[in-house]
Amino acid sequence: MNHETPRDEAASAPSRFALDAPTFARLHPAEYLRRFLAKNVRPDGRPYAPALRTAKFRKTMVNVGSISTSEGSATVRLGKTTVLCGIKAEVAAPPIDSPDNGYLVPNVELPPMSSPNFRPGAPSELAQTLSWRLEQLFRNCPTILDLKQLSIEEGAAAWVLYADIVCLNYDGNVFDATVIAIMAALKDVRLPKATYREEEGAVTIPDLSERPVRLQVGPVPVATTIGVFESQYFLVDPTEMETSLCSATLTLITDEGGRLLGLHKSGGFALNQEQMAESVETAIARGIEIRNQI
Amino acid sequence: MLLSPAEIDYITKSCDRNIRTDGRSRLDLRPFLIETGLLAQANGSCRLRVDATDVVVGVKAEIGSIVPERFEEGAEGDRDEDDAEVVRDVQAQTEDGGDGATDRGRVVCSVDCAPSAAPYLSPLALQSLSAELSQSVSRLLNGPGGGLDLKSLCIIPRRTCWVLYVDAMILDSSGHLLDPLHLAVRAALLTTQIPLVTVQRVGTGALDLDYDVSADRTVPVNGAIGVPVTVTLHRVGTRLIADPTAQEERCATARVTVHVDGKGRVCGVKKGGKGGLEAGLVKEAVREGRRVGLDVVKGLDKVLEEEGKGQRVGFFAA
Amino acid sequence: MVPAANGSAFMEAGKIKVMAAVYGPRQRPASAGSTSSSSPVLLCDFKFAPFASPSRRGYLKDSSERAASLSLLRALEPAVRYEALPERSAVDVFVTVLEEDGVQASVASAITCASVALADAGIELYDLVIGCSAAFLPSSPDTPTNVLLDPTVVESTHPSCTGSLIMAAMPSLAEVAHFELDGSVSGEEVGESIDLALDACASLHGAVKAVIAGSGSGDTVS
Repeated sequence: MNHETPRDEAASAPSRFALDAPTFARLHPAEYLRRFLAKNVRPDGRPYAPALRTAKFRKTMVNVGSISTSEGSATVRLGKTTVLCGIKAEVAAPPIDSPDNGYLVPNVELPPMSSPNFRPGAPSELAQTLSWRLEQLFRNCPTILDLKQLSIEEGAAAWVLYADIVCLNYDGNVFDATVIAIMAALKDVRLPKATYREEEGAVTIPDLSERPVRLQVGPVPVATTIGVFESQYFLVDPTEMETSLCSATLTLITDEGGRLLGLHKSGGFALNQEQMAESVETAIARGIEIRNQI
Repeated sequence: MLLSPAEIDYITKSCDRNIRTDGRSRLDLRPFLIETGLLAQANGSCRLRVDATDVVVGVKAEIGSIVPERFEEGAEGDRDEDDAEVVRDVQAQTEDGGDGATDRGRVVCSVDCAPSAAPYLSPLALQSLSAELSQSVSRLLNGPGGGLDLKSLCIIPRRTCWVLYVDAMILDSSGHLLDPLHLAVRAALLTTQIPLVTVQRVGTGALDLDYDVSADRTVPVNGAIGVPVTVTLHRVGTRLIADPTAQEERCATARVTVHVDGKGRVCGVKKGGKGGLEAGLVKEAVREGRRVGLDVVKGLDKVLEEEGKGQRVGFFAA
Repeated sequence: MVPAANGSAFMEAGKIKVMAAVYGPRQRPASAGSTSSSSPVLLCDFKFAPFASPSRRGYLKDSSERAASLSLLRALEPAVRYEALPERSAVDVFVTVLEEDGVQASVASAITCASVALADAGIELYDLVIGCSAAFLPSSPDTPTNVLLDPTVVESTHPSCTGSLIMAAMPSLAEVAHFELDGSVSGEEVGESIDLALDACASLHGAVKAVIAGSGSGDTVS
């Protein structure tokens, strides 16, 4: 008599427990990603290759000037990640140490509507970090936006530009999207003419409907973020799922001239020179591609 | 508060037949007991009792600065006075019609429900009930239908004004709290006296003004007579009832709150409750609410008049 | 509109732009749920974006936004079939107004947008909730009645505006889900405004239903 031994039965059992793709992705995310990369493709369909320069960003769309209550606005879609930047202008006294300057105050908000991972309450660490990095970018490279053009009257009054960036859908790589959004919104800003009246100590705007003043924007920075998965896979423009699995991230900010305006690397992975050079090349190529859209 | 299905059915059917469990018809109110001027430290006060509901309202008038709400939020970080001045000036000049908040006083309301008033509610629910009641009073008094002449509370435009702090304490409850609360607030405001303030010019500049607060002369709050009362009609079964007991409130599927002033103007309508209401019932609620509200206003004014003459009289609604 | 959410909707009415996202039913957070009962709960969050209004709004919710969150909750509650939701679950509704044109009109649009998002998320509803707003202004040769439907910011903040209202209706059931009126108006004006607002909700209802049935992509509704 031929009996199937228990071991044979067990060997044939796994086929009865085969999981469908979404469940497998939830239970074994790292393995899920590994299997895709082994076939040189990423879960969202983009091709993957060890050579960075062939890496593809997700489809990027920029839409300017949709919010009429703001002085300038831009919506950016990077794959499924969507951010909306609205710039509001107010008048205030200029900084004491530079009385002929105005202010640019960027702020990134990751509201609970954009992802199940964000809860209502105080700004998360991620949101605060993003805001801080944007602020640093403008502070360290003052040529991007010359704050002198925001002055109304030296020492007395200046424009404050509040650049509020709201994330409408989070699917990873918000930073790259926010840089595009804030630059596109700045270019869209239309300010009214303002004059300072000394006798009253006040600023008057004769005609709110006329907005002839545009901003002069210097070199336009473009950010490229690369996530590093298991110290060997470089994932350019990572999605939310990929970001959660990456142990290190590298962000490069470049300008038109191929100069590096900012570099941010987090995580323990060490880059060698070749990888660094390739990353910079990818960033510059991305910059050229994007600047046409802003 | 738990009610058995039989009790709910009984209450619902009796409301339909226009005889409620305590013998009242649908739109009859329970007798109120009002006492004003009981808090010596407050500029105005009132204690109102309806059945077991016990509400105490105190009004304190303090001098404060006219600050638009945005700055109070503190979201913009620190700015010294000069900046704020410049920004406010821009606001005043660039906004259409000017920012109304720079030339009127304001009312700050706070309602606190004692845990004994609603022992079946958790602390969080109690807090949100208190917040809701505060918001209702605040919204009404600071809004266009509040009746109070907030402009008369302004002392120096764009700088100083009277701030009326209306604080209410709910000690016990037997039924919907909004109506007694608003009634007590109205009574307190009607009997509030604030010190007389004289403004003098001390210089030639537009902002060189100073004010002096009198130590012995007081004036009533302008417009307190126009403060609306509230009538909330609850839908039990298919009909509307006024002034429900706690059990009747539990059977209600929806309610309509109507704010009515002494002239019969509707100063606010708010639908509440988890159920829907047919449009016809909403309109009926507004109609009946107005009628009942006018009676309440007349009754309250009469009682306060008698009280003013020195006779303490309990108040029985018509 | 928001792939991360269970359901979402974007609505544009004139200049008003509103985005709603619904998450749920999901596990109730420890802080929510005012009673210890295990019944499912609806949590609404309403916020204007900082750049949505003529003057910038801060990140903390001010009293009008808190009031609007409550109005949103009151408007949606009568429509949700709580029996179909699992016990101890919560349905989160987040609404952000990206551009406003009158606070009342924006809240009314938010109500409509939120109920479409709830439908998109597959939450069982008795009916769609349609929001509508109106302002009371003195009549003129152009506008014979005192009631102006769907007022813009200029109309609702006009010095001679005596009141405003927000109505949320469930037209299939012919019921009013939520109604709030502020100001000082006569009894007749209230009755008139209720009728006008209900008609507006009913006409909008058919159009919104068509969009959901057509499903997915946006549609222009006039």
